[in-house]
Amino acid sequence: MRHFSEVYALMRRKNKKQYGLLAGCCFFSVLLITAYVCMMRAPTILNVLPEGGDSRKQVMMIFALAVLGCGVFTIYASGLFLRQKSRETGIFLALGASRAQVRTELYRELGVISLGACAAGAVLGGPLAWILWQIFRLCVVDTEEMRLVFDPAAYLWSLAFSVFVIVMMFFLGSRSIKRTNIIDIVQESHTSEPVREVPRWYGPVGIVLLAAGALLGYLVPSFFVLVLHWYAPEILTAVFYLPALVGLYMILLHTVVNGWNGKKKLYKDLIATSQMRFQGRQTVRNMLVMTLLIAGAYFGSFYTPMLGTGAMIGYDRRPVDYAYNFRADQDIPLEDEVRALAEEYGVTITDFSAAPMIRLAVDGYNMIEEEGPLGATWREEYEEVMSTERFLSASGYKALTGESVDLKPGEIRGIIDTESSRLGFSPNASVLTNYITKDQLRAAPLDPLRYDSLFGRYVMNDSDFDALCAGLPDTWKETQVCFNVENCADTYEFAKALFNEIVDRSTIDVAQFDGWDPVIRDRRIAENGFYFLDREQLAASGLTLIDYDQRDSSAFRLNWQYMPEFRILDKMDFVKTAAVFLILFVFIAVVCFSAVFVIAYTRCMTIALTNARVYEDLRRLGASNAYLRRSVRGQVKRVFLVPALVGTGLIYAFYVMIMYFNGNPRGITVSEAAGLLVALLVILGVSVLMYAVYYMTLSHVCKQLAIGRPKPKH
Amino acid sequence: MLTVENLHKSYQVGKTSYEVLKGVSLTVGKGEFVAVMGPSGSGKTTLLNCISCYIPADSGSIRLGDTELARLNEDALAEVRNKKLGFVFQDFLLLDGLTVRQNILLPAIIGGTITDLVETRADQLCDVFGISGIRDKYPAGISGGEKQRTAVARALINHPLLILADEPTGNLDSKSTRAVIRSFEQAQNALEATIFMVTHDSYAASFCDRVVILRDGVVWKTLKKGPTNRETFQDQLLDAIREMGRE
Repeated sequence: MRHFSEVYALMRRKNKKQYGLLAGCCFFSVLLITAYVCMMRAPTILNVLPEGGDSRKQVMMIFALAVLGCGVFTIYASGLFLRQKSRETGIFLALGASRAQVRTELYRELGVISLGACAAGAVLGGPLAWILWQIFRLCVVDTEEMRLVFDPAAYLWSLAFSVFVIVMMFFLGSRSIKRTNIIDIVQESHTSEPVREVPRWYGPVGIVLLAAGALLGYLVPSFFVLVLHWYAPEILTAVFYLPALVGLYMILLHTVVNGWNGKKKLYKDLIATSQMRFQGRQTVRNMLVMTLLIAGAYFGSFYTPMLGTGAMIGYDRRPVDYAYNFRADQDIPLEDEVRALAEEYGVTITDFSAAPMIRLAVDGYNMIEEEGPLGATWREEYEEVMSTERFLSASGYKALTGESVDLKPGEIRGIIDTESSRLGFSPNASVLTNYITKDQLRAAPLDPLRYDSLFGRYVMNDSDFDALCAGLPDTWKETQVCFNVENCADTYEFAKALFNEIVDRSTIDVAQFDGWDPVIRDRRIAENGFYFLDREQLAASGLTLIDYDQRDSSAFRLNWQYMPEFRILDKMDFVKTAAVFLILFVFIAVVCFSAVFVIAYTRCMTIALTNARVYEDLRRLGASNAYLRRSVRGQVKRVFLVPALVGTGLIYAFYVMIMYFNGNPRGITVSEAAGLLVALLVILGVSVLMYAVYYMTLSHVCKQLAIGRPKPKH
Repeated sequence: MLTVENLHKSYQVGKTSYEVLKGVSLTVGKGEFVAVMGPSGSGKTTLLNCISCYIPADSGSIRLGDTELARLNEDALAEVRNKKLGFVFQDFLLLDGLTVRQNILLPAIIGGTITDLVETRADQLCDVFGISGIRDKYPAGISGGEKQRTAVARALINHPLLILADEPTGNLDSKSTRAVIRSFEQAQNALEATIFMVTHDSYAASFCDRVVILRDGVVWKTLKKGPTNRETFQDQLLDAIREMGRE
């Protein structure tokens, strides 16, 4: 051994655990971020998540959390590595090595670790995402839509994160060498990171700030939009969540430093509490990252049960088994053909009804947006001819539902759902116009009716209906069909056949996106020269074309304007229809929980590394294995339990808050309550898994500290 | 060899400044074995750290041979630490991943001066300090005394002008203390080393040619051993310490 680099090689061999830990942390961070970004940027996913939509924003938000978590995690791992390395750095400098000499060797080490680990993580991230996706396809659900295609540009994100990791490691390495005082470096590994005195009011004030931040962050953007008519920039609205973050930090700090038991258990938990207290900032930062990741992971986990439970309850609540409507110029099966098809499949139709429906222009408020330096503002302008709605006659409504509605001329009633949870329809039209003849009717909207299968329609007096129907071409007329069957649960094949028949016989003229409206179209074309929901504009608008050949895709089933509502079909195909959404959020949850487990495990193992001497001293003072194990458990439990409790409680409360505020009137509906109950079951399942990881970690830490199992007392 | 003149050093703790060295002056001649004693807080370790160039002094002068240390830049200071100074620390500061022999060779490896001759010298130093039998062992497998003798051998590998030792016997039992002190004597007698040692231990200090006693950041008294035997010199040291306590 004659060269300085050979000394480093020997030190590397000696400290391979520390090198392994750092390399492992970098690898894991880049692996997770790459897998996540490969998935997030995959055309398969982007096709399903509409641009600017809430789902894409949620995916992006959790990605930001994952980047933050992995970033802090790698910074922590690098800091720990350099701290452990500082002793040998100090010795080299004390023995006359120049800083340039040490820096060169340290950079070489960091270069090998960071480049190797980041490259391996980036290379394997894509395959990991692919394998996980294929496992989901194999075990959960598989549709043509789920064929995973990666966008190579996703690797640019991975590259950016890898560059951050590498630059950060070199920056920290350079900073550790730059320290001018050799004595500090030599003694650095013995210094602790004390947390400054934390007043006891941090805990309660933290809780208040957390609640205030969550409320402000959620409600202030609505206040801006609804009251100030201002679409504030997202960066500004995000600021209102900051008190929640500060509150969270204060709660964790209070928990680590003061605890919530006061002085009751001071002596029982003395070692665990003191050790946690003096491990300081890093513990709290780690806990904060874990809390946020757990919240993000649950946010992803809840998506599936909330969506699924709500949807299933919604399907069950429909008053009829089969409902569909079609334009009068379309050759779609009616009673005779439907009964014949039913007979073919051995299905008995118990009642069948059809009623004419017309599309009339209605008045309303046109929302005009204006771009300003601080984001867009909007104002409303009343328009007598604003958009269209579908209208049934009172007798048609009776034919479909069996319910009589007594309406005088000029009176109308909108139809809403029984829970008032469906959005996009407020039945307040007061001027009805035949868009072709321009005949108008001044209408008085009465209290809405409730009938889930006819949501979004209006009912009007028969004579008014006849008068306004006159002169309308078939493209403005529709037929609404409702029927029930015996043993609905056994009629899937029939439902599928009827659905296929309807799609096969629909012309391209009605391959329209759900929100497509002929009146709005005319106005938009007059204003801008194009209408964003026209077929030829859909791609430019970031929306998927309605394609009859993709009739089983979620894009088709969620967005086709004439999509039938067949209870059994919707129920059975729900998982397939929402597969990409569901699996994406499950994937996100898996990634975030994995990150939480690795961070918690690493943190606990470093407790073992840094506290080895303390436990040795305690053993010399006569501490039994049972005592030592209890002390270790006190620390490991806190690393796992505090973020788990806070993160879980936080996101569950946030979800309850969203559910409470998102309906009109405010409150929690039955389907939301059922979704929240299922979310609780998810929490229970994940908690069991978390306990298993906690128990495994505790065993590893005890093994590292050579703490045996206490013998059972006989 | 080493001349310290009117050395001042203070530490800032919050808004308060604590002056630890208040004008210390002393000299150490070539081949001399000098100890610095004094109560906790008297400034012994700060003095040693200033001489080692680990921390900068506020004012005053430290000359090693013809070199004024305060005027050197960082690279030149590193060269001084590597070529002209040898260090022995209370905690030994051996690298756990290197064998005893590799630890001894470390300053030569850092300085890029390693040759067959240097390797032979390392083996000779092992012989001199009685650690030949453990030279291929790692620090984890040897005793405290052996670790400190390894550190002394490491301090001597580059033929330094001066060995600086900070409480070298602080972590050792009496047997190991004797072995380490013997190794300093051997370094002084056989290798003509100059040694400057900070210690609390009157037994270790009684082997020195001269003992400088610091109190409150200034040299309170200097005791020379002269022709007296070690035991008598230790008594003189203890008397001086008692006298200091009475003042």
